[in-house]
Amino acid sequence: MSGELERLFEPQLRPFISRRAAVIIGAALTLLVGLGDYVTGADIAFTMLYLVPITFSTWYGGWPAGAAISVLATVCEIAIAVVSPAVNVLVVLWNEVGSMLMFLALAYLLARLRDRLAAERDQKRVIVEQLRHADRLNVIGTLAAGVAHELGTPLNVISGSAELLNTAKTEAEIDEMAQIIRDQATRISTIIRHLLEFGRRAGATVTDLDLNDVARSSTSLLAATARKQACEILFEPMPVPVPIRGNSSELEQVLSNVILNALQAMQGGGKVTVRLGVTARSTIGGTEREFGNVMIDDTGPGIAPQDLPRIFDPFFTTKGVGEGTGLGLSVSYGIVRDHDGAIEVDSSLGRGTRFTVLVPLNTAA
Amino acid sequence: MSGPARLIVADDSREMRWLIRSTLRPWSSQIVEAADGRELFWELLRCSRAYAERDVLVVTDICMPVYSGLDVLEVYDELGYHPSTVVVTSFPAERTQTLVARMGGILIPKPFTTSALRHVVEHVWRA
Repeated sequence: MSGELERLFEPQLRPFISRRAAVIIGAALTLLVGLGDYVTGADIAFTMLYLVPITFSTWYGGWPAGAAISVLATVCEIAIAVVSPAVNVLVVLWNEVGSMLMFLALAYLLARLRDRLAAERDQKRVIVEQLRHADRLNVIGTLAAGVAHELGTPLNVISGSAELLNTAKTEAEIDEMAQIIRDQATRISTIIRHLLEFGRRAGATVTDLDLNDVARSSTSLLAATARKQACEILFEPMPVPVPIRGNSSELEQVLSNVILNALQAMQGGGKVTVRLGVTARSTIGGTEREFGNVMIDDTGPGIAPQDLPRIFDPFFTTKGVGEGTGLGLSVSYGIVRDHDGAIEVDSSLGRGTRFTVLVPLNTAA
Repeated sequence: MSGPARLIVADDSREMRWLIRSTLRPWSSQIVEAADGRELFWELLRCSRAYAERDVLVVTDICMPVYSGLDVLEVYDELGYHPSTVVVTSFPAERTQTLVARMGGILIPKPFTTSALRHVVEHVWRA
């Protein structure tokens, strides 16, 4: 219930006028009502009309403003009663004290309601902020554990090899250890390069591209790998160009990543279909936008439902250590996001997985 | 001092297996490698048929594909086959430490120096 109330009042909770303006407008309205009261002499109706400026100033100016306007309204009423044809002064006072109490009570209740709504909204904002923070910490935690594990092993191997160098007896042993140290250092720099790519990817040159060409070169790049794994890649381009704007090598990297994942998932052989298309998606603003898409279907084992939310997280991998860094899809996600595009995943266990890479169509071309 | 009749090195990183093997090579000539939990399981099964538990030493990682090193060790613990054990891990949690200790093994955290590894392994073997 309070949620609905809050939605209802949400625009009003964001004051578009200042507290001082609320008081001034409230006072002006009160005096206007007072003038009408005096001219017409319609006492009861105008007592009700005073509620308008009181409500207004309370809502926008808070309790002190509401109370001030209530007092002002009462003063108006008393003044009018005094200048009006003589009535019993005691009756006037009795009436006006009563209406002032009513005014104040209304202002107080309104102010309380408003404060509660505002407090609830603030509380919600705090909770959302905490959730976001927790989520960020989660990502940082995964990242830290990943870095510790991914870099820790090669570092340990390097330091260990360096220690063993003393005990090496033959030239061949020394060569072997030196080679291992070099390989491990290369591995570390590869991981660091991937990390940097994930964090900061600016300055990539953007050109007019045909998404067909991008997909074709990624596909042909991996044809040999596919054959080695007894897999088959079917390429189905659009019969017409699919114009987009982007960085071709980055987008090729994205598609290669996804296709390679598909190939690696199908250990016993299988089929990957790379199909081009054009599709419309509604964007955040609610407007429809046309996207060129590359649909990559595999006949692999599918992604476990509990893994699905994490596949784009840095360092998340289901491959064995050394096979994958867990950065491929997170880097791809970053690249596609920078192209104002999206990656969609649809997977069912035992049936296969479909990745759809969407890049906005270049309608200017 | 002579080493075990059979030494199993289980780690999913090829380089790490190489490092452990190279560190312990001067000490034991009978070294076999296991790249995941399943291979460790089978290697231990073969050992349990051919060797008494006092002749076997296992140096294993915890986080490995298929089964974790601890899972496999726990199975053999249940079966009553207790080879000398050194567990190597990047994430030495207290719970893991107690578990390894209960099975009579010793936990050493990664990263380790080769001399530390040799020292621990020899200590476990003598015990």
